[in-house]
Amino acid sequence: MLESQKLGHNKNIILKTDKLKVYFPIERTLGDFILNKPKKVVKAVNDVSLDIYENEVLGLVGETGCGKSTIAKTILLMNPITSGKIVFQGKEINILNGDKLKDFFSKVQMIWQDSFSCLNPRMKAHDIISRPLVRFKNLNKSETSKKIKETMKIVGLNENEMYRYPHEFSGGGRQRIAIARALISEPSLLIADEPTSSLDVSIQAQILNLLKRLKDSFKLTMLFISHDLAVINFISNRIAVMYFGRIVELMPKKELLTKNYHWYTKKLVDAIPKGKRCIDTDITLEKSYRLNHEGCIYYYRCENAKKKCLKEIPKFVEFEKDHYVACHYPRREVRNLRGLRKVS
Amino acid sequence: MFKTVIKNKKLFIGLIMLIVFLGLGIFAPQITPYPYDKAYVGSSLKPPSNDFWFGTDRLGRDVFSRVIYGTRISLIAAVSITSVCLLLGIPLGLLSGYYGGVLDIVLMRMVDVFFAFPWVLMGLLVVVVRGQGLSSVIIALSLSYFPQIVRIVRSNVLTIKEQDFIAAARLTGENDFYIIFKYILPNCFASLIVQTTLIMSFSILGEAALSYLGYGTRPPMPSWGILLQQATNYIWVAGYLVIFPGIFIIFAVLTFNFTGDGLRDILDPRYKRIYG
Amino acid sequence: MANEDKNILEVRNLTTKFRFGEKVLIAVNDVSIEINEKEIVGIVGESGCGKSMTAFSVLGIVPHPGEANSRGIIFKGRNLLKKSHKQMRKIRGCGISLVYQDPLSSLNPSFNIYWHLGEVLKAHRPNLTKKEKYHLIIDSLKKVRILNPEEKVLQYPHQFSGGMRQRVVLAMALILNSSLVIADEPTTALDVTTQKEIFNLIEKLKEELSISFIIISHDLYLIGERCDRVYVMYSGQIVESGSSTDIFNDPFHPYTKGLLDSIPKLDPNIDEHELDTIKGEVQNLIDLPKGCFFSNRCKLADKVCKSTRQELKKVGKGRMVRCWKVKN
Repeated sequence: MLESQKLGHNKNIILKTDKLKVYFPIERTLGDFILNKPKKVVKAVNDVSLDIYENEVLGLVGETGCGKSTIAKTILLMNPITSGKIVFQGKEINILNGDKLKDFFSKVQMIWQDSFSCLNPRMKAHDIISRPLVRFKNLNKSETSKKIKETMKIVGLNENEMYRYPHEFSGGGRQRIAIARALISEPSLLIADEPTSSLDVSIQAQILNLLKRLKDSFKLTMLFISHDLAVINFISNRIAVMYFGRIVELMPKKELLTKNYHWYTKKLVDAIPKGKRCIDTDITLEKSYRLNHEGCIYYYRCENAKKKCLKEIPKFVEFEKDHYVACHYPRREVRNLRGLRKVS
Repeated sequence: MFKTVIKNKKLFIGLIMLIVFLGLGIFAPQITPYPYDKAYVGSSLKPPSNDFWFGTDRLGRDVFSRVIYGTRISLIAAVSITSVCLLLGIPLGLLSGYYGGVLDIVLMRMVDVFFAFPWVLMGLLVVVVRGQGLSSVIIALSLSYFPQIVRIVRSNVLTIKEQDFIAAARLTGENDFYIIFKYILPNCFASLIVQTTLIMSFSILGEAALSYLGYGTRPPMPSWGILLQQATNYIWVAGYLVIFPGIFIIFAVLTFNFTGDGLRDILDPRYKRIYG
Repeated sequence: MANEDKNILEVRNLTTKFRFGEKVLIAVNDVSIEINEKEIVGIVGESGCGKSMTAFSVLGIVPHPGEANSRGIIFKGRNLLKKSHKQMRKIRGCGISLVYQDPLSSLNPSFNIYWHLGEVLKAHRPNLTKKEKYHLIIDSLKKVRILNPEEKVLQYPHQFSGGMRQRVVLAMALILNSSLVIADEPTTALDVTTQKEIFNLIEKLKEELSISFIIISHDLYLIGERCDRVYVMYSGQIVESGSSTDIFNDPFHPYTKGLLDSIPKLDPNIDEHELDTIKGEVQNLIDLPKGCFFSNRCKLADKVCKSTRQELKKVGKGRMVRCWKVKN
């Protein structure tokens, strides 16, 4: 069965965010206080409602600073929520503590971009991988040892590397240790925040293949975050496009290249280098963009912006089956494949 | 590991000198030909000779024996002061850095009070309260240096706290205690090891200075500072009384400085990658 | 279009070594490169392949303890190896400029844009009047398509976006009409939409000002799309070179093929289940293997590959490959 066809409303929702808002206050100077200037905030996540279905990979793509990493950290309770809810397997998680929190962490794990800083440089690989087992499950020594060996084999690490320190591994090796640590407690949801962005191309391919295989064999659900559209296109079942704190489009993977209805998605797809020589004559003058205006967040960069866009925030609606867009005037034409590039 | 140590010249020399000093201190009774406080009437202020290798002082005591026993005092002072500083400074630094907030502010201001006292003044104060003696020196110098340890540990903790592996540790259910002692503290060892050698060289100089000024060890204890103090009046007449203790002080401080520098070099991860 | 008769830069058999005690690390291993006028040449490879070190060697800024040796580095007819330190300083920034990866750290946050561009002028043309300086600076900002340069020139780097900063760095590279600009991963730290704008700008500058560019990157598709010719590097050697169309439509070297296969493609018709990967990892540059450097990872490797070093051979018009299994 093709990857791209695994969708369905009758599937369970593993994680859902409901009008999630995460605002970070900017510190006020004394001058601001005296002049009674309004309190400024950075709206990192601005009214995001996402559903992640069981056993799918939801790809979250957007440029740096758009808030995708913030969503990941907020789901793992590393950031305070300004308003809205996060619901995991039917239970709200922002109010958990103590044992329930521990239980939550045993079911949701994360892998980071920087494989070096996410591993304790003073702990051996074996110990790093064993910690979740020690904390979350009560296994005896031989069971623990067996499980660790198994997991290391699955992620492609050699048994004789067990007692080495992270700096003795390559980038790819370290990322495998991080994956082993995340998966050993058999979580239901894995959040991957740019796991391959700092790796070489050939190693990236190995890790992506590994993640795909693991997803199938562990029946994982994944939230895969990246700025690289090609990687997202490869690994995801559905793709959510994010721009400055808002989701602007959500669609099945197949429709990314053929039916990108939001103007920003189109711009992203056009900007990806495709390897074929093409001379682009569109040269944009470098302007500064404003972000704290009313209305559509993409207004100042949109090639199709109209008056309504500046006044009213577009609603996130189901434009077609399983395809959501937040735009007053979405693109209606369907691109055919040949229209994607002009070959000189 | 062994090869790395040998290849770094500073560290190698420093360690050799350290072993020599330790040997002198530990085996002082075996090495010295005479007891350090026995006065040989009739041999006062004699220059270095076959009988008295470093000469004799005003009371006829053998300078060589006194200097060697002085090594013991310096070593005891160094080890004690270092231990107190670390035992006091590390926990405060860890708590302050990890929990931050009000605890951090309060602790740091308390520590700043001690930081504000020059160590000579601290020596004077402690002596006024407790009287003269090696223990007063140890207390005074420990209180003077431990704020530095608190600051260094705290700044290390602040940097390490932001790293992804701490967040990962929380995600694997580790509690605060475990994170502080198994994740953060081991990563502070590099700078702590270097600090240890710095405290030791500070202790030697500090103890000598305080004793010289009269706030430290009491005679007839032959601490190097006391030896220098008793030699002040005789500099022109019997220069050897000043030179030998002085040389030992210099070499002791150099030992710890070399060792500290060398350790800092080999613990630097870039160094390791290149030089193996 | 590239003017193939006029050769701007020719690097002949460049080797850069780093000595650490008894160990020697060969970062650049017998590399020969040619750049013509009005050409954009790409050097592509993964981390540690020596692409950045090649650029540094050409400019004479190899960090200690590296030593760069070659049969010749000919820039516009003059051999750079024969130049003194002072003369090389004149060439850097004026004849050949370097643009770094991270525009935020290339610019000094304490000074405004006018100061940055002024410093370049001060170093090479100290005898300009204030008015002349000002005009040159505003002109160079206009060349890189920055709006309202008169206002922008007084602002500080932190007030600019990443794309704007990179334009400023390009302006610094162009203010003295360099003939060759070396850009080391110029858009890796930027978003993909900004990357497109910067490269459009680079193409325009190439045409309008007759500048040649060397683009160093690990992004194969970017290089393929934006460069006229490409050099593929692995473990310090050039393993394949040719026009970008040739290399991307019909790669010869197994490494190039492997690299192209392992990148996820944006093609809705392909439903890739797995990417075709190159097994293993890049080895370190100190203990180089006896035979072909790629032999321990190559699918086609056999005894001959593992025992004899391969030479770079011509296999077509303007194409060279370092693999004996590729015939003419």
